[in-house]
Amino acid sequence: MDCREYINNYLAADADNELTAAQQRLVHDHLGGCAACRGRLVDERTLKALLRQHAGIVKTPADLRLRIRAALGEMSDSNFIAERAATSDRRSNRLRGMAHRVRRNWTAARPVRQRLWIPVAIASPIVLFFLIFGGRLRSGGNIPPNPAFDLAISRYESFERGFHPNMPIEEYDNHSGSDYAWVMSRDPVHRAAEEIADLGRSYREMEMPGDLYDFDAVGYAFAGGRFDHLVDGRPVTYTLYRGNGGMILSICFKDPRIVTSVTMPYWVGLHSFCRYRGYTLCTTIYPTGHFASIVVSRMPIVELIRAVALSDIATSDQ
Amino acid sequence: MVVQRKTMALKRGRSRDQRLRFEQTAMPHLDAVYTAALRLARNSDDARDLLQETILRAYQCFHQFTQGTNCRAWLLTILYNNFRNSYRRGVREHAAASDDDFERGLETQSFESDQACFDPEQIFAGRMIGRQIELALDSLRPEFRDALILIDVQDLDYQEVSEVLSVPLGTVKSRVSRGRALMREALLQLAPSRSKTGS
Repeated sequence: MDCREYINNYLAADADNELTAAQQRLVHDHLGGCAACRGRLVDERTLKALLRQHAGIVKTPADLRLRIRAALGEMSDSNFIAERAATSDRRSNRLRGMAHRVRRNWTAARPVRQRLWIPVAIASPIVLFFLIFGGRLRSGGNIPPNPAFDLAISRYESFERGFHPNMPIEEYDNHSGSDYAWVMSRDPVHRAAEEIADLGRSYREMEMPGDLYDFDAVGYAFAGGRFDHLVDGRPVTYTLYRGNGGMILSICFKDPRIVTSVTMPYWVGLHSFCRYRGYTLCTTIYPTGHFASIVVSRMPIVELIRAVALSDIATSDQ
Repeated sequence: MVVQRKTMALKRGRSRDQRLRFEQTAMPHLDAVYTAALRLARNSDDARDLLQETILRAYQCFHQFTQGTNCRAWLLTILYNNFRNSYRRGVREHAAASDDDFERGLETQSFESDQACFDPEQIFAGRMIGRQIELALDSLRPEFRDALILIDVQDLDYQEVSEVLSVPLGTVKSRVSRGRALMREALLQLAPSRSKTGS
């Protein structure tokens, strides 16, 4: 083998470790007596290293990452709906229509949840996740100061002092601006599930997402909903849940940028979690309508992850 | 009815299992696929669309992925097919950015990774070299550039590159060899121009 043959036929593959054993023997024999080709090999590997270093991997923007995860979640749901449609004669047309809508736009809001049913078979993988990773979730990551999170915590603390629901829409007096404690005004035996369904419908009428959490499994009951505007005029909804451990507040904004700038340390499905100023926060991006939500709680991060995951299971099965 | 519910629960469980496996297997390569999409589309908006289409298509076809093989290569194959089959013809023309815009975009995005290094002089020197590498890469024909990027940046082997680009193995070898030679020439040409400007 001469230098020209080595450079033309073997140099690149040698630098890439792509030579066969026979070729390696040939090359080894040549390089042993040729300093110039050894130098070329070093140059070739340097060039590779330069390319890797300076034309390397670019980080995916946080908002794009979130959008993709959201679309995957919707697609995952739509696949199930399609399968379900194929096996159900009675409801096949309606469900196929749902699946089609979800696939077309990745938009279909999940149906309002009417009842709680948690199949153990579905819950176990997610619960297993907590058992495996629970121990790693103590710190919750270091999140830099964030105005949206500060706002969410300030609302939480304000609602701890008093929460005045103004939804469903039919009980909201838009003219006088007065707030109605509508839950109290209703029939005391009115089922919470129906109240949640009403609230979901009302939110949608206000062009906000009607998806609500179901925290019954972790001992938190729905306490009321409120529609409001931020100081800049953007709409916002507050949904409050109460339990023995305190409150969980879900705040939905009509602007996903509110949370996309933050790199959250933990992910479960469409949700991301962190600890911030002594609170546990969960952010979720809705794939359509450009919504984002922040859930605020004082519970440990593992417990909130579990609560949100169980809610997802409970609500997606209905 | 009970049997039907059990069947539904199993199907939903399967769907969630697939999602979980996809999250664990494919999503760690998101940055690599985004980088490749940026280089193909040469435009941030189109790259975002291309990436999203690729990931969703990969999810739909995830049952075809062979466990134990290189998932990054599999995703890049889908990306390149997607780009070849529809993207290049349709979307790209109306939104193609200039090379300068594209490089500036890459520089801006890669700036985040510079934050780990706190020596401004070092950052500046690194970015000067990076600029020359980008210029040299851009001077290559796409087939040479793709081969080098897939080998040197994306860490694929020759066989995987052959599958991603749908070309024979021998063609990959010659493109890598020729591409590096051209790259070296381009860098040598850029070096004197730098000294002339005194930078």
